[in-house]
Amino acid sequence: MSTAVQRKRSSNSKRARTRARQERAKKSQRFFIGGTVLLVALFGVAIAVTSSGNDSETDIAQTRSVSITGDALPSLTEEDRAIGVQIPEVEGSSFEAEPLSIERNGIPKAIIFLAHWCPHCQNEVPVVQAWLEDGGMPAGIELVSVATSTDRAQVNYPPSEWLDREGWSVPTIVDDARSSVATAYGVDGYPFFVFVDAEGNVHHRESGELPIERIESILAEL
Amino acid sequence: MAAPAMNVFFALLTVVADVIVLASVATWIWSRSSPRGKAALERLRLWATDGGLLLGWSIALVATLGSLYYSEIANFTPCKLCWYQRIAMYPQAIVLGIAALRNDHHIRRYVLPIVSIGAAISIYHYLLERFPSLESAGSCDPTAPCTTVWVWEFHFVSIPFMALSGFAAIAVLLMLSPTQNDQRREG
Repeated sequence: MSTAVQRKRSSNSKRARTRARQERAKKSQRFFIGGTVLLVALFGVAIAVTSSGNDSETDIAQTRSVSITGDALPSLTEEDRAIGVQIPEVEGSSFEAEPLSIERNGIPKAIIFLAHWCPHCQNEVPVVQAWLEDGGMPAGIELVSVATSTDRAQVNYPPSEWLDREGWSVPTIVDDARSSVATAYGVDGYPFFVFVDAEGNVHHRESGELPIERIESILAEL
Repeated sequence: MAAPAMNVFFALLTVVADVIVLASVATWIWSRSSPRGKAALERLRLWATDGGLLLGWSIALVATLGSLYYSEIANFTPCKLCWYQRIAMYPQAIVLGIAALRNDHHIRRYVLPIVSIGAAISIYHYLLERFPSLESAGSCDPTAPCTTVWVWEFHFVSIPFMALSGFAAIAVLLMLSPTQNDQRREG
């Protein structure tokens, strides 16, 4: 093969390569224009769809200031180091802004910590409510719940509407934005149950969806 | 920007990715049974040869930016499984970009295993959201539980579902792109 032919071939293939590259550049240009149009269109649709719907904003404050006195309980671990320890006292308020408190007042109690976004709390609330409506709660024991870990970015917000919807009849203290009450009681998971004896000491703590029989058997020990 | 609008936006993009995946799979099934299906698959593959890497890279980039939007701007806390999916997705925003620039279809050997693992984690995460009891004996981690559903659009799109759609679309596009044998035939 003569060098002239080789040179001609190589310049041909170079031209072909350049053409291929130009074609690819044109295609990717089309791709970017098409892609941008699609993105802008979808974004427009998204804004149109959401701007017409009304927001589930609420006037009710979903976190409220609380005051806590006494030492915080250690976080619940395998072996509960809080058993027999005095509970911290809490002064706070309900969603309706009525003052509510947890005091060492000689009455045994059960405290339930609830997070609106937690699916296990969403399951537990109607179970407990049905049990209360059947008169399952023994007399002489105080039942109180704490709406905590509230986050407007998460699902099932606001908690006040969720608990309303469930017909939740348990007096509910609204925790502050830093979940101070939950921290003071050593929450390790939701829902979180704290059972307190008449002396104001922790009898038992447990997290998770407790079956009613389990709640009843612990209440019977108080 | 309001989070609801962004949620719908990302959910719409997810649906687009799902359409790519379902259409490709349907065409592949069609190609097994009819010559016209075979021709359609060929056209699809030809198209993927030109734009598959670029589209795959765009999907990875949008998924990466979307995930950063959710954690850094919307302040959603990524759970452990979110992080694993991020590990599988983020590098593709760079790797597929370089591959698209170089038109390097061999990249699928490296990317396919990673996005497959990512997709498997997304499926597990999505199941956890649907059935929280899979994770634990009935309690929610107070810090960053994987069972928390941050986004729920069109009754089926959540964040792990978005990730799954992205992984699946990237995988399908890479699988449509020419194999080594095809390239040898072309060359």
